[in-house]
Amino acid sequence: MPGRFIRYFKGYVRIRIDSHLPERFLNLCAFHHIVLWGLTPGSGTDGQVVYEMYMSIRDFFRIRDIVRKTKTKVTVTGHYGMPFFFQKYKSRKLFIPSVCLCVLFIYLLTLFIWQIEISGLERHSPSEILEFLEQEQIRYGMRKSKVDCGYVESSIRAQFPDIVWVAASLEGTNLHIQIKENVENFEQEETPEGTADIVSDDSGTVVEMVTRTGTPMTSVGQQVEAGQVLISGREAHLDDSGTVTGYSEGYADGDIRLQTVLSYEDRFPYEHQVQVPQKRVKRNLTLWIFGKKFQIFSGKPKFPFYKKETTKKTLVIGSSFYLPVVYELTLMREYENHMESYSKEEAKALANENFRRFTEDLAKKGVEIIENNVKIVLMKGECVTTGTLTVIKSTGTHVPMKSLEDTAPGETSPPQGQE
Amino acid sequence: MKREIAEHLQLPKDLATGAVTVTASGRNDVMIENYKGILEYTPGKIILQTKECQVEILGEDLLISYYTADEMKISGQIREIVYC
Repeated sequence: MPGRFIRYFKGYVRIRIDSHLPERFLNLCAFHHIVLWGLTPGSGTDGQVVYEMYMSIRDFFRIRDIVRKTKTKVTVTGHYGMPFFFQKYKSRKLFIPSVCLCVLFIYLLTLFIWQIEISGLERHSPSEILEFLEQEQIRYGMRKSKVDCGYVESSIRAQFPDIVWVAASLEGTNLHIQIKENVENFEQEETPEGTADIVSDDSGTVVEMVTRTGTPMTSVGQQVEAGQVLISGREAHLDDSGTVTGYSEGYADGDIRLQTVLSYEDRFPYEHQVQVPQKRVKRNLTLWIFGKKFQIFSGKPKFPFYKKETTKKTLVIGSSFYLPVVYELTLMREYENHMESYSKEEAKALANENFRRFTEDLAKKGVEIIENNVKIVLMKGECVTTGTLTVIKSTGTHVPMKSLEDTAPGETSPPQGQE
Repeated sequence: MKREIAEHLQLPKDLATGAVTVTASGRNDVMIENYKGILEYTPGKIILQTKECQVEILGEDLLISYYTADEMKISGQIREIVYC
């Protein structure tokens, strides 16, 4: 590789030799320490063997005597390298200054921040962090020398208490900020204030019940209706004889799981619309150069139905030399709506898929399915999936507590056998 | 005589007697040192003159990758290396 570079730097030529004694020419070259490479034989016009080879410019001027001695005809078939490059562009006087100006411009670009990359965010949005950085005078297009990474880190930590770790680093023209948030701490619920009861969302049988605060109004095995109070926020104070001396009111807290029946119904017609992609594509291009927007191609497509795909990228040289040029390419691909009909197998598969998704969603919500009575019926014109699911699910919603006057007699009393 | 002296003094033979050194890497590359010159060069045959004998490289699409007074590298589909 270095040899190649030196050759390019010094310049070299490819020559063709046509002689009765080509081997003698080659041997004389070797004798005079003229380095040849890429030596290939070929056939000349009169069937005579000719050779083509590369040699440096310096050696080319040294072969004059050898050429004369061996009566060789030498033709230059190509010239390569820096000296020829400059020779070629000698007449173009603005070329070299332009190259120098370009290098200077690129150097100047490297002195600024052209990308702020934020990674590791879960709760906060990047725009929130960027907005804060803007207030702290850390912005797109600022001088790299003015960026104090230590200050960026400490100010972000001070502004956002739930961010536990920040690392800011400059990589080329990119300010990379890595953030770690304290998600667990953030998810802790604050202790609610006020008074409230927990009422049931559904009708069913209580299968599990844990009361943390308040008075349980039902027990495991009992049937409850939707809207019925399950845990009351009101606690009765009893004296030694068991007589109620007063009530304290608070915010009921507890977990209740009910066994209940959910109905499921999904119906869709066999006839359905499909989007068939067409060949026509409309492209829109928007450029942001130094933060200024330039619309290169714009407008709406001539076709009525299309899907939009947008790609936005910052131009980058290598991995971290971002340039102040951002392009947004929008592709609008035409499609046509066609009506198609599901076969029985397809309809069944789709119905199964819909039901699978429904049960997956239930599982994500912590609902346990214990009995499945859902059936797929292929009717004329449509596919119907219907039935019931017996499930165990969490229930309970906080509602404001009723005053004692509104409460029916005995409503706040716990059920028999409940402690 | 030279050979015997070189053997006694444990000198490398190529240095002492100017013997040709042929280094073949697989069947596509041959490196040759201590030769005197090229006698013939065609895409199918290269004949080299060395101090003691001639070396024939036979094959197809033979190409001299580089050629100096000390060594040369031949690339191509090499079939035979013959000393004659």
